[in-house]
Amino acid sequence: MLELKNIKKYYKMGDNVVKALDGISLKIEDGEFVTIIGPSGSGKSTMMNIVGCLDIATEGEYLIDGVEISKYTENQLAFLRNKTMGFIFQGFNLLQNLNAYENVELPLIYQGIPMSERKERVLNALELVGMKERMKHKPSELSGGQQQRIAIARALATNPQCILADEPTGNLDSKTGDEIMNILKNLNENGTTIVIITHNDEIAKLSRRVVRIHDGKIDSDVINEKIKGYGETINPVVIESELKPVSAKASLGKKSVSSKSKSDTTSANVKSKSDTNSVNVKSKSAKTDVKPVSVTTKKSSKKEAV
Amino acid sequence: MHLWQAIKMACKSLWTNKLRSFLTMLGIIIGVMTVSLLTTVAQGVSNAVISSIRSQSTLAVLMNMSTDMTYGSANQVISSIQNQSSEEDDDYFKYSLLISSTSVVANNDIMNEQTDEIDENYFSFSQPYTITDEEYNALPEDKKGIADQLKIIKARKQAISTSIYAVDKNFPEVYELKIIGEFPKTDSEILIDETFVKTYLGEMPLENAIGKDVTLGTTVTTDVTIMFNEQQTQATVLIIKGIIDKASLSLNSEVTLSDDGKTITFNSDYFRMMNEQTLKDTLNAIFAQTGSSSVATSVSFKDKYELDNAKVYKISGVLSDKDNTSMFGGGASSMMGDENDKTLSAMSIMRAGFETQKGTIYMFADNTNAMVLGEEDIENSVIAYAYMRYKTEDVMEASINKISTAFLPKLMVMRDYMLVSMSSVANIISNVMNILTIMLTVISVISLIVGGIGIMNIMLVAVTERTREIGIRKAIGAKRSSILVQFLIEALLLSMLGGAIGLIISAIGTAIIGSLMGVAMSMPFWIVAMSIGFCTAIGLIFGMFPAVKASHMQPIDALRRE
Repeated sequence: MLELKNIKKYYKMGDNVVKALDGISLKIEDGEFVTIIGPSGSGKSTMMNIVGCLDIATEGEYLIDGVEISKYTENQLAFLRNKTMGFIFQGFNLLQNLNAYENVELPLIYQGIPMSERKERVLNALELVGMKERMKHKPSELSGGQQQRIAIARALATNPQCILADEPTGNLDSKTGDEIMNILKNLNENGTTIVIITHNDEIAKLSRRVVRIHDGKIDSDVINEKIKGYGETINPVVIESELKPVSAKASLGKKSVSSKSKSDTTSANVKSKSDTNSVNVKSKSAKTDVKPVSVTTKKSSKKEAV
Repeated sequence: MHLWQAIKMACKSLWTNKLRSFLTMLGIIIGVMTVSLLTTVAQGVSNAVISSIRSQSTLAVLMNMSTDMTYGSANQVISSIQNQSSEEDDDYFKYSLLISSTSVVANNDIMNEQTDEIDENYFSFSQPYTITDEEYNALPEDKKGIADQLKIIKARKQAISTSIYAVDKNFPEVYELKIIGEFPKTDSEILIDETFVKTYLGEMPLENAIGKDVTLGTTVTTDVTIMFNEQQTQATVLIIKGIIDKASLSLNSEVTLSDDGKTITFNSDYFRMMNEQTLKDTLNAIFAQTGSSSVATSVSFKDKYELDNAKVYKISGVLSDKDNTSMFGGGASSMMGDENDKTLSAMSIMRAGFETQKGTIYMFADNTNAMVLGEEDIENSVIAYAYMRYKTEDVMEASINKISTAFLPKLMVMRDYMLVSMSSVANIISNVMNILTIMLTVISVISLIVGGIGIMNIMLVAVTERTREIGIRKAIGAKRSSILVQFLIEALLLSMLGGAIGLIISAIGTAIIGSLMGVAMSMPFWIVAMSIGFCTAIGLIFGMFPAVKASHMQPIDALRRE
C-alpha cells in the first residue's frame, strides 16, 4: 500500500518557488490500477518521481506499507526501488549496449540474485511479455512496442509490488499502445499494483481509478465502476480533497462502497482470479481484438512506430 | 552486486567503444612499452658489457704507481723547456736532466680551483722537490726564467720508466699475445716484449733474447764525476740500472769525445747498464779506440745507488704481437690508456725524443700470491704498473690488503699510486646503468601520469555522455557504490589492459632487439611488477574522480537529460 500524506514538492527557480506538488494526499491499495492524469506542468511527473522513490518530497509523509521513507538515504531508496518498484518509461530507457536478456537481468544483478535463479526469472518475465524469442536482440534491433515489452519485463523481473508507468504508450501507435495496456492489465489481474501517469484520456478510460491533477493539487479522484478486473474487488479509499485533510479512517467510512477488510479482499482475489481473467479477455477482445499476448507480437512488430 | 558482474559490465561498455578505449589506452601502452623496453635493453647491454669485463679480469688488479696527470704535466713542462732551450744543446741537456730528475707532478688540473694551490691530498704520497736556491743562483741569468717555472713545480725524485706487469699464465691467451720461448716457471724468470728487446738489446732475432739476463733496479739520476787524466769533468747524467748485457758493451758512436778531450758527450742510454767501474772501463775503451790521449782515472757517482738492490732475471720468453691486435699491443699499456709513460722515460728525455717506447717487462706472478716480486723489488725497481690476476675474489682481496699494508707505504714515499681493480670498473659501469635506469623510470612515470590524465579525461566525458544510463541504472536499483565500482573498474581496465599490452609489445621488442644485437635480454621481474602496480595506481587515482562524479548523480536529473 502506498500512502501520500500532504506531499509538497517545491523547486527553486531563481527567486521564484515553483510548487510542483502542493499538498497531495493519496492512498493506493495493493492491486489497484490507477491512472494519474493531468496536463503538462500539472506536477504529475514530479508525483511519479516521488511515488517511485526517485525523489523525496519537500514536505509531507510518504508511507510504503506503513513505513515512512521521507528520511531514507539514497542507498536505502535505491534498495527500495529495486525491491518494490518497477518502472516503465515513455522512452523505454533500455540500455543500448545490452541485449534484451541483459536489460531484463540488470535489476536482478543489482539485487544480488544468483545466476541460475536470475536466468529463470528473466526468462519468465520475457515469456510473460512474449519476447523470449528476441532476447538476444539489442534494443536498436527492436520496434518501439517490442522495446516497451522488454522494459515491462525488466520492471516485472524483480516481482515488484508496484509498477509505475510514465506515458507507457506515448511513443507508440494506438494499436501497439493497446497491446502494452493489455499487458499491464494482465499484470494487474495477477495482483500487481499499476500506476500509470499520462495526459491521455483514452488511457484513463481504461482504468478503474482515475486521479486528476492540476497545478500540483488533486482535482478529482474517481472510481469507474464499469471497469472490471482485479481491482474491482478492491474498493479504494478516495480522499476527497486536500481542503479537508481528513484522516484515512474518517474518509474510509464516508466514501468507500464496501468496507471489506484487507484479508477479505485477498481471499476474494484468490477465488475470483481464474474467472476474472477469462472475463477480462472477453471484454477486451470485443473492443481491440487482442489475442493472447505471445501471438500478437509477431503481428505488431511490423506496424509499430517509434 | 558482485565484483564479477561489475567487471563484465565494464568490459561490455569498453567493448562498445572499442576505438575510444584503445586510443585512451594508447598513452599507457606507450608509457609502459617505452620504459620496459628501454630498461630491459639497457640492462641487457650493460649486463653483457659487465659480464665480458668480469669474465676477463674482474679478478685482476691494476696497480698504477702514478697518475695520468702526473705524466701529462711532466710532459708539458718538459716540452716547454725543450722549446726554450733547443738552440743551446748543453743547456738543454742540463735542464732536461733537471726535469728528468724531478719528474714533475704539478698540473693545472690538479690545482685547487678556489685557492690556486696544489691539492695537498693529491700529493700526500709524494715528496715534493723544488729547486734549491743554490741551484737557482748557479744558473746563468738568461736561464733563470726557465728555472722560475721550475721553482713552482713540486716534483718527485723518481722518474718512471719501463713498465712491469705481474701476470699469470692466462695472460698471453687473454690478451692474444704469442710467446716465443716459454712462460716463466720460477720467480727469477721474466717475459719481455719485442719492443723491449729492440730498445735494450738491439736489433736481433727475438729468439736470441731468450736466456739473457736482465737486471731490474732503481732509476737514479746523479752527478757523475769523471777524472780525465787528473782533469775533473762533471756531468749530470741519468743512469738507469737497466740491463746488463755484456755483449752491448761495445763501442757506440753515440759516445764521443770532444777534440780537446775535455768534454765527453754521450747517449745516456749507454749508462743504463753502468756502475762506476763499468763506466770507467767503457770510457777508457772508447778513448783507446778513438786514439784519444784521455784516460778516465776514476768515475764516481755523487748519489750512491746500490746495484745490489737490483735483481737479475733470466729472460724466458718474448711476447710478440705481430698482428698488433692485442690490448697490450706494442707492449705499451694501451689498455690502461696511458701513453705518457712512453714519453716520460728518463732515457727518452736524454735522447731529446719523447716518443720512444721503452718496452715492457712481464713478470711472473703465480695464482695465489700477489707478485713474486719481493718488497725490495717493488721499492727499488722501475715498476710502473703491477697488473695482477687472481683466481678467486678472496685471493684478490687478500692480495690487495697485502699490497696496501706491506708495499704501498713504501711506495708512497716515492710516488703516487692508484689501485684499480677491474671489478671496480665493472661497478662503475653498472652504476652508470643504474642511474640511466632511474632516469628512464622517472620519465616513464611522467608519461604514465600523462596517460592517466587521458584516462580521467575520457572517463569524465563518458560520465557526461552516459548520464542517462546512470539514471536508468539508478532507477532500477543501482546503489551509489554499484555505479562507483562500475566506472572505477572501467578506468582500471583501461590502464591495466594498456599496461599489459605495453608489456607484451616490449617483450616482443626485447626479443627482436636481443636477437639482432646478439645479446641475451630478459625483462627483469621488477619491471613487470612495477608496470602492473603503477598502472593499477594510475587507474585507481585517475578513475576515482569520474566514478565519484557518476555515483553522485541524482536519478531524476540523470533520467531527465536526453
